[in-house]
Amino acid sequence: MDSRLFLDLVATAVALGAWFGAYGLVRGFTRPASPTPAPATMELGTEPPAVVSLLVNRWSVTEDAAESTLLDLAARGFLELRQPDDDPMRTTLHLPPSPPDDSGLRPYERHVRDRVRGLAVDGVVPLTALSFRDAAQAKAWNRRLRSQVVADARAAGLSRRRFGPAVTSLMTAAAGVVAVVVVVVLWHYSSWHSTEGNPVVGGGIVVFGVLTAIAGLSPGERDTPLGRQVAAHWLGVRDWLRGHEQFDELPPASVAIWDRYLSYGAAVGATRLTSTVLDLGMGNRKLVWSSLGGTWHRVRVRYPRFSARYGQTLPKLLPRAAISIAVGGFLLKVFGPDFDLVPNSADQAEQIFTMVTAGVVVVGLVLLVSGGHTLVRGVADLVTERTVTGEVLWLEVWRTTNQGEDRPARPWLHYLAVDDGTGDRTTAWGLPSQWAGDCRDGDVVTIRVRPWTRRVVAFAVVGHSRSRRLVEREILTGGGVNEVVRIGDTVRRPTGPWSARVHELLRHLAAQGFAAAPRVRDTSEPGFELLDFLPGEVSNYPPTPAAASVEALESAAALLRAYHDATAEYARRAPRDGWQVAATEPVEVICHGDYAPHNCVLDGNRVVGIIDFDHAQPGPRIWDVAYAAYRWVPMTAPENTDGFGTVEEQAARLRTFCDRYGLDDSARADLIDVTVARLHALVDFMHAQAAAGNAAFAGHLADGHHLQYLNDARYVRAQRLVFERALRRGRSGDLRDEGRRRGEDRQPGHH
Amino acid sequence: METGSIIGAAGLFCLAAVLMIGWALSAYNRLVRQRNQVQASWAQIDVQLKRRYDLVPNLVETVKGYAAHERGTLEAVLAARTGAMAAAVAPEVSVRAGAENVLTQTLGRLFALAEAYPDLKANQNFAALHSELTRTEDKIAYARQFYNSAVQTLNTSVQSVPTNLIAGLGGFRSTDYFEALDGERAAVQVRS
Repeated sequence: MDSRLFLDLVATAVALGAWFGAYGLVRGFTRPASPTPAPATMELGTEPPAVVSLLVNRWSVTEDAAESTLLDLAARGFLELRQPDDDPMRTTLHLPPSPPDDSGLRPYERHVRDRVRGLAVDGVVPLTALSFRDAAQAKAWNRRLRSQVVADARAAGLSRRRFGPAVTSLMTAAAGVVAVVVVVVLWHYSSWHSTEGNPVVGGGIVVFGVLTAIAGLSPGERDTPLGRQVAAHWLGVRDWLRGHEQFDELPPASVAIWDRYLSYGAAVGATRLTSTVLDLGMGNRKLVWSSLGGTWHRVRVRYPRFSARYGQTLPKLLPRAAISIAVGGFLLKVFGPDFDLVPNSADQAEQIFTMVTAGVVVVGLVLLVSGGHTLVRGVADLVTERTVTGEVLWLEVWRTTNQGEDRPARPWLHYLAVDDGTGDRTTAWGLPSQWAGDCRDGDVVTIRVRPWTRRVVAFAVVGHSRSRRLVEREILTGGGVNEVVRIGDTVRRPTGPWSARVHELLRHLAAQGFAAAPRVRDTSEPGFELLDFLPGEVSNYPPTPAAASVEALESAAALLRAYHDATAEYARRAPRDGWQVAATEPVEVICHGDYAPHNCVLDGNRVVGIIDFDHAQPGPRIWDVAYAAYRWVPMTAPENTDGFGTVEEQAARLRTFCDRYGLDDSARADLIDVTVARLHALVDFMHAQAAAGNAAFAGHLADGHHLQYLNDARYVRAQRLVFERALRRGRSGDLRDEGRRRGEDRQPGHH
Repeated sequence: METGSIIGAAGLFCLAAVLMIGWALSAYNRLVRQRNQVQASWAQIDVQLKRRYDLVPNLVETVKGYAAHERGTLEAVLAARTGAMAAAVAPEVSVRAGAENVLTQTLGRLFALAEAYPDLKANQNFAALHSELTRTEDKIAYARQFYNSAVQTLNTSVQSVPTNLIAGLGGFRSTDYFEALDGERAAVQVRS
């Protein structure tokens, strides 16, 4: 080689090497510290959990930041977590009706809360439904969260840019020096080599651009002196929490007991179960939780990307191998004889020819060897096929076929990461896309695979995951206490000790030809009942315009009357005990016990069905009418945002309701007293249920629902004269029109 | 042939023995770790309880200035504090928990009584002491949760087979829980 060329190459290499060396040194020096943990302590500091997770994870924002923020919002009363049974995967998130003042929330806390709000249906969202379906969306959401957390940590002086402006400027200046060296070298080269059109300046600009871009890439955050001090404290908290083995097993709903300790536990990585259940789509696809074998563990997944063999079938590989061998062989045959390892010709053209020949020969050799290798391994792959059974950890599109500009790309291969229990590391398989729709993460699958191409050749789902069961069922609104799911034209509801009585009642109603109540379909599954699904709309609070209409009020009263009449004969012989709510004497009918808009099915403005007989009890008609009137009229105090109407309007609607029901005069005289007593009985029932460990009622009490009922009872008593006057007054035709106008004027959301 | 099988059996036996010893060591170390955690958690409760003893005399002095004639309640608080400090040396957790609960109750009565004295409530010193005591009681509540959780872990290990064998040999015993007041416990249950 020419010594001048050698000199040029060395100069370039030294300049570039020096720059990259300096870059490496700077990276090394600015590496985030790992402070020594302070002694284990249970004293919490003032930093929010997301910032804490940044500090204890060596100044990088992980998925713990979002999870701990969510728990912290729950600990502070902005959200509520409820777990209906032993399975933490069934935890639901509730938006409290009256959350605390949110003016002090930090941007990322709002970000997380808004995510929950956006997904909530009637204020409820299953915890497992929080994860994202769309990777791009998840990425954008997380990027925003990350930048907000970093900004907060910087503002508190706990974190700073890993490369400060001085370092970036220095590296840029150094890149300029390297670019100048490159320009000089190129100029020098062109001066002795007499090359036409040597891109001297262009080369310099490219080098400068690339190096500046590398220097400008954000290498993340690093510690500050204050940050190190605070991080040491939190590492002490982490040691304290990790020392408590139970902490590892706490479910998210235990935030009710542990308050912020749970959120900080999640921030420092001491709450394994909670972090497993909570997945805000921050799910790291390379480090996935698996529940195979009954215990949760993390599996590291590798996703092969570059090699052409992955996911291919033999019929596709063989022609490729053949072509590769043929081309390789051809190249060797043609150029091989001219291959000269030590060219010593002085002629420049000959020199170039020799170099090109050498290159072609190398390419030919590579093609030949790789073709042969593919051939041998591809065939061997057929022989070494094996069967794997395990839990699906991850499923996503790997390769797609482009179908032109107007049609979307069609996937033909999916990544399928499976934990087969053989270790904590695995490599994703290539699943033909036609099977991808059949399974979902958490399912247990049996696959037949070829280990070298990682291709799945046979596939069967052998077990479904819990999260899938949750997703497949539509969670019905209404009720508010029990989780009720619709499956086709049936409804599956949890049962209680009283359900046998309810089933007898429903069977009796069916035998009577009363069609507005669901029929019992199946009671064989322990703990659940399968009833008819009654099609229509069920209103919640505040009521929909349809549920607030006079037509709904009248049809509700008429249907209640029909229901009572259908149970009158049965009530005489029905057992008095075994109901969820104790019987009330004198027994005239079977009271529904919760005859309210949330338990009635509307067809347009007409009430056509009654659901949820869990609170049914033998009792007098007026006991049911009083509560139904309270709900349907509604006889609510002005502060109760679930209600509507002035007291005069309410009185008019009460009159309509009682007229349509056909309530007799003596019952009308007692109605107000009974309504007050009925509301007090309801509050007593809530207290009794909560004390007996019913989490839903405990939640209602915590939300202050009982105070609302008591306040309404006071209101009804205070307005007794207005209501009783309306009940006694002679029939008035204009009431109906006035009420109808009210109902129709109502728009959703005007409360 | 026979020698071969004897050697095989001896090898198996040795292997089993090594595994057993390995398991016993790890179980023992785990018990030690759990016991240390119980002690560390206890120390946290202890710190907070002592902090409360320190605050009580100041509180009583402040209240005396405004409601000297409520002697009965004030004396009850001081007596409960003395009782709690005496119980602090008792080895049984339950004895101490009982004495501390008495102190909590009498303090509750004292604060209820303060409601009737607007001047006292307006006193800054009283307000500061009140909030400090409330904070301390909060910390006691959490420390008690941590302690009970550590005790539960230790007790489970000590009582369950086969770790109970190692626990018996190593002198590990079940420890008492630091019981909450009945009223407080009910409150926690409703919230869970």
